Amino acid sequence: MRLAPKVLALALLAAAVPAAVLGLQLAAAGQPLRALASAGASLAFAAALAAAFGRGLAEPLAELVRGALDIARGRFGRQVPVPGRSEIGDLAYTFNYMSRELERQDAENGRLIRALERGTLETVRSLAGAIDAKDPYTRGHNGRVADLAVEIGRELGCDAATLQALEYGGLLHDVGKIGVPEALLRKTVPLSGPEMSVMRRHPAIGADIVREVELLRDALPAIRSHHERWDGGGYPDGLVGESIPLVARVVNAADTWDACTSSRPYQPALDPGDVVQILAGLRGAQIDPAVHDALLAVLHRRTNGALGKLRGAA
Amino acid sequence: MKILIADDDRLVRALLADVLAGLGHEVVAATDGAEAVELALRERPDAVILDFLMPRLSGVDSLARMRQGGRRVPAVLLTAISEPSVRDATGPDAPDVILEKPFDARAVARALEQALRAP
Repeated sequence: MRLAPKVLALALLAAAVPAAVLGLQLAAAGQPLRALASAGASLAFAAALAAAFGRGLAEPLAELVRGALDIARGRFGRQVPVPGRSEIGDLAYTFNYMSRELERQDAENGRLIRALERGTLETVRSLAGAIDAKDPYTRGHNGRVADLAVEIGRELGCDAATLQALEYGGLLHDVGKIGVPEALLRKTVPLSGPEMSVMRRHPAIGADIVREVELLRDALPAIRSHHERWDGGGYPDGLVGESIPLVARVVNAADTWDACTSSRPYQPALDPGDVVQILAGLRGAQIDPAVHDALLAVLHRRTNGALGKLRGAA
Repeated sequence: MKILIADDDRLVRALLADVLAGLGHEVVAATDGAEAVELALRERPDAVILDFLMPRLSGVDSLARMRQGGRRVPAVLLTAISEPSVRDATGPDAPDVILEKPFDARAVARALEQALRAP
């Protein structure tokens, strides 16, 4: 039973006894009309008082229920009116305090999480900087690959977690080069067979380096498989097509673009227009066709339409 | 004497500061519980007047931290609610006097005097 009708029933019940006694006495004294009138008046008075009191109880409680539902749904900070000084007033007052504190703590948690995420990204960037220090010809390459990989990911409609993996994967895709002798990294002439096989170990070395880092778990496939080819001719696992993780296919395309458009010990930077032609030749051979097209769309946007007109060319 | 007041309501702080200054006391004010604890350690007040429900740290918890060092600072707790469990607190962390809001200047003076006389 709701609170207001309960209070009303209780008051009427309590008023009925004296009203009946009074009515019987007046009736016995030969005044039945006055008996009815006085009994009716006292019951009506009791009912009016009870209704007002019941509403005074029920309304602030209903406000509190609405406020509690808001908080249950994570909408902190909701305040309810404080109905004077009673236990219900105290409850409303304390509720408002609790609600404000929850809102403050929620905001504080959000701030801490953002600071933590920033700190993590800075740590990953500094690790990527360690690769740059070892291989000066690729300075800035990791950051550019990360940015481009994230843009391609957006173009492909990837979710936030995948975009995060693309950023970390892009930054760290060459982290395994820490395990490759510097003399090899700086070589300006084509590598010999044995040298090439050492160089080709860097994706697996990189994956081993970050394997235990929980935070980089989603980026791990991008590090290990960024030299796989769509046609299966890549390394280290010789994966084919869709069996190559998407993050790796994206980082592979971004890596190829940036390697061709920046100068390397073994070749000067190529003209972006020529690189678009090269990419078209790699579409469906090295590069996933869908990723290639997304990359072209990104380039098209980046250059205000000067590049990427060959979209879809195979 | 130096009195530390702590309340998140600016009007309450202003009113308390006025009353205490009128009584010839020096006043330091905090806007929440954590700030009050910090100020108490730095300023070493002769007595504290704390609001019960403040942001970051309640008056009762602030008082417990202030007294952690073993210094038994006299304390008045302000409260807008008349819940008996607040009133019946005992032990070393309990406030000496509870002052219910709203209060007037005389009530503040009396509560402070009572807290300072407490053993």
